[in-house]
Amino acid sequence: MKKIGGVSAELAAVDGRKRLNMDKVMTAVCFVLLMIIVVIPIVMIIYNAFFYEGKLEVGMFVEQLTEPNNLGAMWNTLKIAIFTTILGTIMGVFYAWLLGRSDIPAKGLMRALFNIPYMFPPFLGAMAWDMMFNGRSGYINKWLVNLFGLSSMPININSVGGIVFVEVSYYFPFVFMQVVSALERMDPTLEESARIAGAKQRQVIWKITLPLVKPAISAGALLILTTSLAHFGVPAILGYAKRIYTLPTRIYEVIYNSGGSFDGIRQGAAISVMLVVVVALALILQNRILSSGSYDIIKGKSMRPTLIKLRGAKIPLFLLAIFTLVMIVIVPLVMIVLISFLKAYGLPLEFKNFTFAQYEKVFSANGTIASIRNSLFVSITAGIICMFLGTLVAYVVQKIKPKGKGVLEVISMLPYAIPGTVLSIGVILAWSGRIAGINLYNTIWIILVAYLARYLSFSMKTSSAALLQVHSSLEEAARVCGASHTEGLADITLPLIRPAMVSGFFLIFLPAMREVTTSILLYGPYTRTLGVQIYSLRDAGMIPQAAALATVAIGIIIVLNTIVTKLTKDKKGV
Amino acid sequence: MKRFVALVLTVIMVLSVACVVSAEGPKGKVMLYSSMQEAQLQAIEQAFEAKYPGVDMEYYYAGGGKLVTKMTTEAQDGGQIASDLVWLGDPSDYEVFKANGWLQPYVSPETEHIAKEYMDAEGYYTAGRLVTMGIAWFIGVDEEDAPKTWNDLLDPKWKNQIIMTDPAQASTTKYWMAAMMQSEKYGPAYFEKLRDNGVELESGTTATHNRVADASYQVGICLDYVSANLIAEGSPMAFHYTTEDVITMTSPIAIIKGCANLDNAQLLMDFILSKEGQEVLVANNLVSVRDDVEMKVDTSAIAAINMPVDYTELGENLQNYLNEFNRIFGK
Repeated sequence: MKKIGGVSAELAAVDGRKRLNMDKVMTAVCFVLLMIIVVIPIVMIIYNAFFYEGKLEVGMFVEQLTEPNNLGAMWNTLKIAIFTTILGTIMGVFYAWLLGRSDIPAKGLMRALFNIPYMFPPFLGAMAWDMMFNGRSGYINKWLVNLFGLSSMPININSVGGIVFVEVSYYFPFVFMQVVSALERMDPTLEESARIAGAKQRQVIWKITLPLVKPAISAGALLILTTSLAHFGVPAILGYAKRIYTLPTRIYEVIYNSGGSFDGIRQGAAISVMLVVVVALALILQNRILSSGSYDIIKGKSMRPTLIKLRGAKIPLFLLAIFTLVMIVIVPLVMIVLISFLKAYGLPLEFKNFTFAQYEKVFSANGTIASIRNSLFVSITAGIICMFLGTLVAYVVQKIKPKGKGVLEVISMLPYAIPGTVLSIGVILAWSGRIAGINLYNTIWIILVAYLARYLSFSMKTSSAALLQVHSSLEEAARVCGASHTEGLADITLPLIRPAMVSGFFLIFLPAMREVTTSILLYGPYTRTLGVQIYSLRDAGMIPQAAALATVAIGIIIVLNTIVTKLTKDKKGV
Repeated sequence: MKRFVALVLTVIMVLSVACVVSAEGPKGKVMLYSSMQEAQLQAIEQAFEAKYPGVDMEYYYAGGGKLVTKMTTEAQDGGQIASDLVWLGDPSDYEVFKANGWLQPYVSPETEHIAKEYMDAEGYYTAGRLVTMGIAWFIGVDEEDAPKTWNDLLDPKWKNQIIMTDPAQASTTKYWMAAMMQSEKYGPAYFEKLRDNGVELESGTTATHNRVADASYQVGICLDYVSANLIAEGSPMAFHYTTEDVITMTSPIAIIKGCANLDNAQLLMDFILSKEGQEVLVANNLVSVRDDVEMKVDTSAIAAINMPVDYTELGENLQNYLNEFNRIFGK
């Protein structure tokens, strides 16, 4: 590191004050933007959790902290989050490697399909699973009972194990998408030299490939962890009847129970602080793990990585991948589509009960088109802004390394650990005219600001992992050849991390398209989102119609996904 | 040229007539926060705007808990709630609103057709519809066999076959639970027996109904209008009221203090409580509060077997009853 520092210092000397200014400007911009987007709403939440009528009051916080129900929920939350993270990471890495590095057939298709679960509205996904494996009435359960003459339902999805399973099938794409793009950026000569030196296939994977994509794995794992910790939908749908509570279900319970007094909101905020602390601890842990070893693996020579021949394992692994796809992607997807054709929820899935009426109703309803337009606008805008802002933060943290970079990193990660409702309360308190007279309430911009806060961590983590792989010698080489700092950044670093930036965009765009918990408190008469529209249908009991709208949403997302992937692929060739 | 002048004159005349017409009626906007189902709100909106074309009615829809959270956040630090009216399911919420100073008293002239017990004595809120808790069952069960009273739910033949909404999550079930807890006939002992009969909890009202429709449970403690809507869609379930101790909620409507469009708020409230407005609700499977609206449901027969509820005591002890329930169900 010293040597690199030396080169940088010399370069800085070449530039005179210019480079320093540029770095300083970027650092300052990061701090200011994060202040506006993230810090102010969070401060509003924390202030309200600890201060009562302007006075510090920790009694309520301590009370919440020691409340046995909260502790039990905490334990469940941790259990679910840890198992989901471990299993999701293993699955994500395995399939990323299989589809990114081996000669398995039908890669492109499988890669696209593996991202689908991430687009389901969680309640519909969980509901699809519940319909199949509910311990009381699951379709597949009943079928298995008949087939094998069992005396009881073989699988019960309404359990901690079931929740972990469903969450894994949603969240493994975090790791999958990150690792796939890291593998794409990796220097294949490193693997080749190991092979030339006589290493076996397994050794290459364990000793070379895995360590090199470690930043991407740990970034993805951290996203799984935070998401699972703060997730409401799956435990609420699968665990509730069996009294499996998590912190988010507790938070929603205390908030929605407040009945018009602010105390409930304060209690909810206090429990959220517990969640935030857990996430902050996870972040510190991750930094510890990553601080050993260097990860600059893109050394400039661009080369198509050699595909590993699976030989005898090809067919079994292919079948395994197909089986996984069918189980976790196709079957729930088909289930959602089938429900969307049902005349009414609860009718058996038989042809005579099918109809197109739900789609007609969806499109003739007030506001469906407007909600699609609003969601497209907010998700794409949030995706693009976060993509650049997240990369900026990541660049400052990884390359400029100013004082307080740890603070920057933690700040950008925190909002995702805060349940959507609590975050939107912070955003309302912050941006409805209380601060500098800025009133965004009931406009689309307040939703955008909330999405930026909520999803910034996604792009920050993705870009951060990618930047860790880019050796600073590349940018320095450009500088030595006479490029300005800006040119070095624009022509060298950015193109190298572009796949990661694009996958960061999708990590944001996909869930933002169907986001509910934040926008439900923020939407105004003309700014209804798709998620809100689906939610209100579901809340009115019109599950088939909600499924129809979700099917439309998934369709839109798949089309856009394909277009953007095509567009960015072309650019990569240049 | 003459023709052109004539045309211009005609246009001017038509426009001025149109202006006069629209100038006569009320103008502007009105905003309603409501936890009613969207289809019903849309029906109200259409009927209201047809009658008052100059007024643009807007509504914000979300579940009761979310709406109260939104209002609470808006009102924090002396802020103004961004709505003109609020229409939720549970009357006990309105006692809190009233105490918070959020409500503007208004007694609509339409209330002469509405029973006094459906209104706040000081005129802060008036029932906009009636919601009643009853029993729903999957159609695999014969109506003859379906539970007819709350005590029928304790029959061992329904062991592990009953679903209800978690009162902590839904204000309507919370109200029902509190009324049952309050009554000497039922009280906490009833819920202990219910728990021992294997009753399970769902996280939301609609989810409970869907669990009955998909036969996860044979029987559910369900709401009349949610069941009616699902049945109208064709869901394989049925519903009836209990034959004794019926518990009805009065889903009140109220005007927000300091709201931006007070005149139009009163206009909308009058409309919702009018015969015309209540008929729109009835056409959407809701139950009217008026005595002169024809319905499939015989409200006077139901009122005759209503369980008496002490509202004041209920409001004061709501949280205690909820804690008691949570203790019994080991939450």
